[in-house]
Amino acid sequence: MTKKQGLRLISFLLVLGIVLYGLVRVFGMPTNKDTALGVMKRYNDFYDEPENTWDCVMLGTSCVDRQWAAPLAWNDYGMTVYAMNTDVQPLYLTTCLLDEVRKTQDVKLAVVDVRGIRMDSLRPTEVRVRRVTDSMRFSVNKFKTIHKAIEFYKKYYSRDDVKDGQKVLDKLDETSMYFSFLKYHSRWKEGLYKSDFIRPVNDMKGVYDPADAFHSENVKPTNVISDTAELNDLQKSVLDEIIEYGETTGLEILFTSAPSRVFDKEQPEFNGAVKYLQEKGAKVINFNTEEKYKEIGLDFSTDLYNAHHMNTKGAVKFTNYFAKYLHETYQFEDKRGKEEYKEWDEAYKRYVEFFEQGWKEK
Amino acid sequence: MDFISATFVVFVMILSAVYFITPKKAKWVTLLLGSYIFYMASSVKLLFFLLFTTAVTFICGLILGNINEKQKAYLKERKNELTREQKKELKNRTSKKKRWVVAAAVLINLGLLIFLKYFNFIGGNLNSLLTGMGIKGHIPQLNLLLPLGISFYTLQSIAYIVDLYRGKYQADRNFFKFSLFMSFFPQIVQGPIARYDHLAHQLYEPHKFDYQRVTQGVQLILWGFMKKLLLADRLAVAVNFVFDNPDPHEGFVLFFAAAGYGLQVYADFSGGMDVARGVAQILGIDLALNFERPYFAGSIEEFWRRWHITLGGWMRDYVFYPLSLSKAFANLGKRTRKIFGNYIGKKLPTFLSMFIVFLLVGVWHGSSWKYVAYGIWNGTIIVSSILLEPYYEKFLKKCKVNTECFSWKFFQMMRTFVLCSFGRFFSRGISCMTALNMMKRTVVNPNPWVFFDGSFLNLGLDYKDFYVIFIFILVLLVVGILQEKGIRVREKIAEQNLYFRWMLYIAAVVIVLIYGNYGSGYSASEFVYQQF
Repeated sequence: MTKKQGLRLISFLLVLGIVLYGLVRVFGMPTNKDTALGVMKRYNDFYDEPENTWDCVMLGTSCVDRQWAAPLAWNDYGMTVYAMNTDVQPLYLTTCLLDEVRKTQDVKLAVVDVRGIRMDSLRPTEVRVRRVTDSMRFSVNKFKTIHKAIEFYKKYYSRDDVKDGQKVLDKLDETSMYFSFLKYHSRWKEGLYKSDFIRPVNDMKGVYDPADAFHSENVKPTNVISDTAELNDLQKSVLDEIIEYGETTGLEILFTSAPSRVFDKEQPEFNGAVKYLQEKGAKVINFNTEEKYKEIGLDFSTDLYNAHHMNTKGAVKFTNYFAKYLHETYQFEDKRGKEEYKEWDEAYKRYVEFFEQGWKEK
Repeated sequence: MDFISATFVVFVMILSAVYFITPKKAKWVTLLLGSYIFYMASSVKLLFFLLFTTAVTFICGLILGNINEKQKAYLKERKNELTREQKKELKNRTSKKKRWVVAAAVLINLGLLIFLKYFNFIGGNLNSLLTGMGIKGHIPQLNLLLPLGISFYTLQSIAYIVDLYRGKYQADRNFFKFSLFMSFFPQIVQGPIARYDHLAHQLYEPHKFDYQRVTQGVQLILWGFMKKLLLADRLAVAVNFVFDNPDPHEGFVLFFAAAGYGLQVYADFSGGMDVARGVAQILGIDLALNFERPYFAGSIEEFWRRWHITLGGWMRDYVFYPLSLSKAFANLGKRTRKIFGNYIGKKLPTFLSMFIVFLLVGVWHGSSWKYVAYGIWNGTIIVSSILLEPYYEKFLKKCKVNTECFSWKFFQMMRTFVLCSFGRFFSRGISCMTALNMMKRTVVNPNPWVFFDGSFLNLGLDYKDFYVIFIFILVLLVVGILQEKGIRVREKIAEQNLYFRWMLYIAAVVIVLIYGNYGSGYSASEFVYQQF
């Protein structure tokens, strides 16, 4: 091969590499659905955040970003608390996500919601895992997260478990979990969207912004019961791992059980998780008690858009309550007025407009 | 290791890099190691069979080589002493010895193939026969594994032995080099069935990195990927849908499935060949051409000359000629001439040889009666077309049909396509009876409305898939026409400007990656938000 041919080959491979990179970016997790778009926006925003500017990160399922309005907490206390949840976020991936966050943010506290502890929520599905892993940037940690999810699949399901006439573990396409293009390239049939080409970003610090955030549904209040179900070994191991992570890294972890309508059949497992965590000496707040509902001022007839999720009215109430708690308990530095946090001021302005406009249009 | 996979691409890249930096003398060792690694990636256990066949063929080849050389040396030494009769007698004597060696090699190698591939089929049929005759006894069905590429390397070994018997070339005296000839990774899985005199020296010679050759090899690989991923794997969805449950389908849908299967096999097999030849080309080795646009054939006979060329060539050289030129067939010819007259009587032994060849080709595809029927189908069409040829020509003359124009050639191509497609009912159908039933329902239940009522969209493919299929068949057709006209497409591409070529290559990669039918596939319904 002559020098000229070598240079030509390298140039060609470079151009091809650029084209393939673009292709992989475009054919990613579909973001035409609001919730997937929300997740992608939140994660993109996270990767754009200036390093070491967060005080606290919130992890958990879909209830987390529905109940937390980060710009409000910023405006009231100058704290930077960001919700990095995904819908039905696999609780067993929490430590991987904390690793991902801590690569760029030296958070002092992680708030982990335990709604995902129910066996039904722990049940691994491709979509639940992909919402997390496909939103992550390429890194060793991303591969570790995928590996962990696959291992959990194997723990949760036995070799003979069948779903839709096919063995669950046989159906799992491991390679495409690592290289998502293998799955998403066939999206050309379903259609591509603007958000596939232009990277969507959340400009309100992770606030949940689809239209249903301004919908009110008259939800029957929770019938608080004190029954407790004993967690099984798998559930315990998931919680133990998070506790251990906090102990080994020195990161403070606060477990919560997010407030919403909780059905009778769900409560024993949540109560069991709270009890188990308390026994383990972990910090935990169960918001699903009559006392907490009252303190938050939660009105089930106006503050939720469906049984499990708060609307923006509910989010304002919860943020006011919880931000005060965080401020008093953890005394995060008030960073308001600092140049490098200007974006948070902008986010607050946008949030106020978004909130007012949203309810006005209703 | 699947040819059409990222793993294989990475494997080829690494092996090529290692090959080109290996010192000249050891380059063949790199190929040998690479070939065995490739084989072991599929099965370590079954490597034994490849080694066994290689060893048997090598040893028998050595014996034949020694006999050939001794005879040659003896004749040279006594060139002037021996009379013509004595020389003939000596040749006969050595031929007899050599025949024993050939018989041993063929029996062992072919016996192993027959045992592994056909034991259960033969045993099962014998059991049915014995039960039918009221005889007790049961031949057990064994759980036999078929070693990767055994059908190919066994035929390759037989060709080597028979060619040595014929004194075509000298025996290989290096076991390791010979092992490379038997196991060369691009061709061991699905051919082409190589001949020793064409391939071996290419494998043993060191090849330098050649930029032009590498780019052409990569183009061929990419073309193979396109055939396989855009067409074959996509057609397979609809074909499997119909053939796995043929009862609800009739008429044109059944014909579509059979024709689609033919195209699927063509795209799959010839695509695999393109990848194999492309990989070999990168390494400086030219593998034999195995497909030459078979769907441009004007007759079934021509189709088989263009389809799996190396198998056809093997059957011609090692089955058809030895049979039709044998004493037994010559005697048969004499007898049939007396009974059927000169025209038919003379041709009958040839027809019989042809029939045997097509039966073998059918059975070679698999151990089932449907493959026997597939062989009979092709053999019958070819024999009857030769038999009827004079009557056919008379008819055409009488009707004043112009056989030199495009429309006639097109008609011939379409006729061949239809006949070939009908034959596919046998090779893809679940059983011989199912195939016959599907054939019947294709003919007696024509349903042209399926072209308009969206029936084809209920076969597991949507209209977008059909667009891809249609466009790629069109591309294949255009490329085929150009090649038929003697235009070398890759050379034409090489003549274009650099930027155009780059655009073309990148577009090909992008098309394969996006439109290829691979991976678990995305379904929008999977991603619709599920309530907590």
